[in-house]
Amino acid sequence: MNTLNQNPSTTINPHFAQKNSMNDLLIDQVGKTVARSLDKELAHLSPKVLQNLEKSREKALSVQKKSNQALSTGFFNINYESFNWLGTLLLICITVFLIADWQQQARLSDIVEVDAAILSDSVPPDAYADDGFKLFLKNMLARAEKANEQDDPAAVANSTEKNREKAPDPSLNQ
Amino acid sequence: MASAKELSDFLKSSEKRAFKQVLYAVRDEDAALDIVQDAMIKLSQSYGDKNIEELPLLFTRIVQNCTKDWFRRQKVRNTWVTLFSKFKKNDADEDAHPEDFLENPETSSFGQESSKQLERMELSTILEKEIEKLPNRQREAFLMRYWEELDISETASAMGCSEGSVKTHCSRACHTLALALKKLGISF
Repeated sequence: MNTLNQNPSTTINPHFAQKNSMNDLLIDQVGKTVARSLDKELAHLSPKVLQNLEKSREKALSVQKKSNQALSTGFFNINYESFNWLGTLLLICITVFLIADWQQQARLSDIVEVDAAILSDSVPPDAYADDGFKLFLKNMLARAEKANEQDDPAAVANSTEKNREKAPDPSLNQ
Repeated sequence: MASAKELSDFLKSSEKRAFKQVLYAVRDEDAALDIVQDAMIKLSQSYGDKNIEELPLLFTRIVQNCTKDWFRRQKVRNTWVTLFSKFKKNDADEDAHPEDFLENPETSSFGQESSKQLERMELSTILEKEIEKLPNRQREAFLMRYWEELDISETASAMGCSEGSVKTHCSRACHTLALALKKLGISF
């Protein structure tokens, strides 16, 4: 029994494959023939075209991209881009440090200024810690403002006398 | 990384072929020179640090893209012209893209032409004309496959299509050119 007759595709395939491969060969042959002819034609380009192409090539070579490794210095082998980042980061850190230091200095000088004012004042420093003295000052200021509004010098004098009688003696707290 | 000399040698070996390929597509010598210059600069600027083995395929792709960009710019420039021409006549192919424009020579008229001009024109000139008449995709596939000697997968990658499409385009282009060569007395 002929097995080939049971499967018709097996009888067709070899011829089909052969025909296909012959077609491919012909196509390749045509392509290569045409390509050879085109190559010959390249030798007949006009001088103007050749000159322009040369200028274009020189321009392209002048802007050739260099890799990052090519930019690195030999000994230190520093990556140029990461060096930029590192420098920027360092600059930011230094700036933040300087700002913080200036703020601290300003704060300290303010404290020193206040301390100097307190110590050089005629009022003893303990008075500032006394709540009664604070109340006394508050009341005195309020009455001074009222007196200024009324514009009566006698009233201002009376109010200050009364505030002195009412305020407790700071020396009693010691 | 390709050295300056390697890049220079590569460009020297490829520039003429690239110019001719672009010339077949745009049919304008000055435009073809501009496109090739743009392609060379882009290759050098963006891929000048690649290995020399990668440059041929990259350059082919860049040339293709630059050519397409040129067609797009031409289309934009011609928009107003097309708009005004609409008022004059109904243009059947007003929606056609320049890069997809197909030109198929009538074999009968070509046969008459070749019989008159056969003695005057050289084989290469006739072939160039035939290549110019090919549809864009067939011409691209044919030139990349047989002139630049890229393999099928590289050609497919450069053209952005499948390997089967490349084979089809090449086959059809070769059949058209084989007919033209047959009329010149060259048979395969």
